[in-house]
Amino acid sequence: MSQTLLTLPQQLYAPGTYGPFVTASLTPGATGYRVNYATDDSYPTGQTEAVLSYAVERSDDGGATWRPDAAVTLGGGPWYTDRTRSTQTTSGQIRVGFQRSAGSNTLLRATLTVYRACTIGGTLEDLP
Amino acid sequence: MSAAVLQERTIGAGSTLSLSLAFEADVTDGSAIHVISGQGSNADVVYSWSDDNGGDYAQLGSSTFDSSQQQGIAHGCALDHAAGATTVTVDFGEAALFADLIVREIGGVTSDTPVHAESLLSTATTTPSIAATNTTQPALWSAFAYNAGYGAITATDGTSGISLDGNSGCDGLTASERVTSTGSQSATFSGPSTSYQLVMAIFAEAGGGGGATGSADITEGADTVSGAGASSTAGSAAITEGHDSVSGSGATSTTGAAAITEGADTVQASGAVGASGAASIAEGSDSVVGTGATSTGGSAAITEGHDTVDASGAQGAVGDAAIAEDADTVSGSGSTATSGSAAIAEGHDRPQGSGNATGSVVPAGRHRRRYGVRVGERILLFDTPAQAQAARAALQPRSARVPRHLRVVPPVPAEIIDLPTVRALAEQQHQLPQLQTLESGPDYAPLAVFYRELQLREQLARSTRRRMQELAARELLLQEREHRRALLQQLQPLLSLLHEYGRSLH
Repeated sequence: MSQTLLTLPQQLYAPGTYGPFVTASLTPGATGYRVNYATDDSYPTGQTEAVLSYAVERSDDGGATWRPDAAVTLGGGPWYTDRTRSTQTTSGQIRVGFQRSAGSNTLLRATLTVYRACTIGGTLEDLP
Repeated sequence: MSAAVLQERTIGAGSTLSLSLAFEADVTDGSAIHVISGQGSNADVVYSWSDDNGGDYAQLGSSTFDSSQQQGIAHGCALDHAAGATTVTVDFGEAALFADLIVREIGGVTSDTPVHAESLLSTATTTPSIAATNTTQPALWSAFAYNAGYGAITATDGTSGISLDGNSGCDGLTASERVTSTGSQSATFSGPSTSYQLVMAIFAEAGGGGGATGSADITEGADTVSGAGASSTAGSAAITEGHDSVSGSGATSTTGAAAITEGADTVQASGAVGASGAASIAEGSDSVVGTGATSTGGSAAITEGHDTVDASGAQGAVGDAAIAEDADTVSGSGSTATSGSAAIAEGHDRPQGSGNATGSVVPAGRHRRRYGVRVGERILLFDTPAQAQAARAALQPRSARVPRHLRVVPPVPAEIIDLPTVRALAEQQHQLPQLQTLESGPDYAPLAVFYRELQLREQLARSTRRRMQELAARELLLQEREHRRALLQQLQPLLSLLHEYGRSLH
């Protein structure tokens, strides 16, 4: 069962860096994590422009050391719910799988970098 | 190190310009990184991979794009990667919908660009498959299947890798397998009935053999194999064996050198070699410990230990030849050279055999030739011409003799023939004309033979006469015995009357 490890309030973020936000300990044995993000109709459009990036680091020693884990750079909208683009949406997901499942001291920390002012927010949860 | 997938990861996002994913462990120096990316925007998206540790990525083949499902896929690789922490990024150049990235570190492979394949199976299937052909081995194929419908995928070939839980409802699965043969390698998956996109790359294993050019090394441990041999068209070949229980390694070199080192063997074999015609060798169960070397040009050396060899062989340059040997104990070493030098040095052998050779050899003794010298009415017969010559020298007039200090002792004749005796025998046997002819001949050897014949006849006649006399005496004795028996029979009635008369008196 998934466990929400971090919540980023949905709000308007000006360009800049936010965080890092350290999560709670992951469920031992977790096989990855998922970032659920949401915006509103004010989200910028423009397919080739970077709006924000979301970088995640991982620690397996309770936060003593960190390694880069994954990063996503989102461009402008619109977003769709399906491949046929029949329905637009204001939410999305990032799914990251582990090679080595989480231990008892595994933590994540996320850093949000906003390039263009936008409303964004979301949660980070581990995957069983 | 054998080729293997050392680590792999996946990431998927709804709509991104780029995705980055770090390997959880440091990349091993020299590894290849196989990257696979998908996106749901359009067929014109350009996939561009990079990393923060110097990786140089190139796309393998062309990307595929399933327009009915609005999903595309491409793969690439970075070869001979530097060691260390590595985060791989795929950049789509635009906000790609439903983007994915799969990264796989392939260790133990060469820096050769892998053979690869890309496939779009637009017709629904439940067993998507892809194949590529490798020309070297060992090798490792790395494949990825991407379905357009919901449902888990399993790998039918090779080993399943990591699953991709795509945002778009697509699922994916990696698979890999180390292969030790060349030819078509296939990766087959099983999943929901839908369309699939697949990619495959085959990486050559580092240190693998099988090259047409270059070098090959073989190192073997203690095996139970059979056979040992070395041949060299040019250069040298050498084999050295210790004691084993047959095992071996073989090396062949067209040019250059080849070497084989073997342990203790027990070898049983039969073989035949013929330049022209036929040759056959049949050997029984032998226990042979040895080494052999053959060289067309250059040198060849054989060094053998103590062997127990039981063999029969035949060899003929022209015509037939046969050799049959009993069980021998042979220990030694031998060498043969068509040109140049050859040396054979053997140890203690006990050969036993029989053979024939062309030509003729007459046993000595039965018809020995003699050399005669006549002295008056006698002929002196010697065994050798030198003895006869020495005897003639001794018979020369005093003035013709050699000085005393050079004189030699006259040889002793092997036989002396007395001519008056021969004449008497010849006359007795009516052979005088023949004797006269032989007396005037150039040498006395025929005369000696004639004399021996006369002697034999005389001996035969003498023994015949003696035998006749013995028979005549025996006949006389038998006649006397018969006469007495007849007289006794005549007196028998008278003796009976006298016997009756004597009893009546009592």
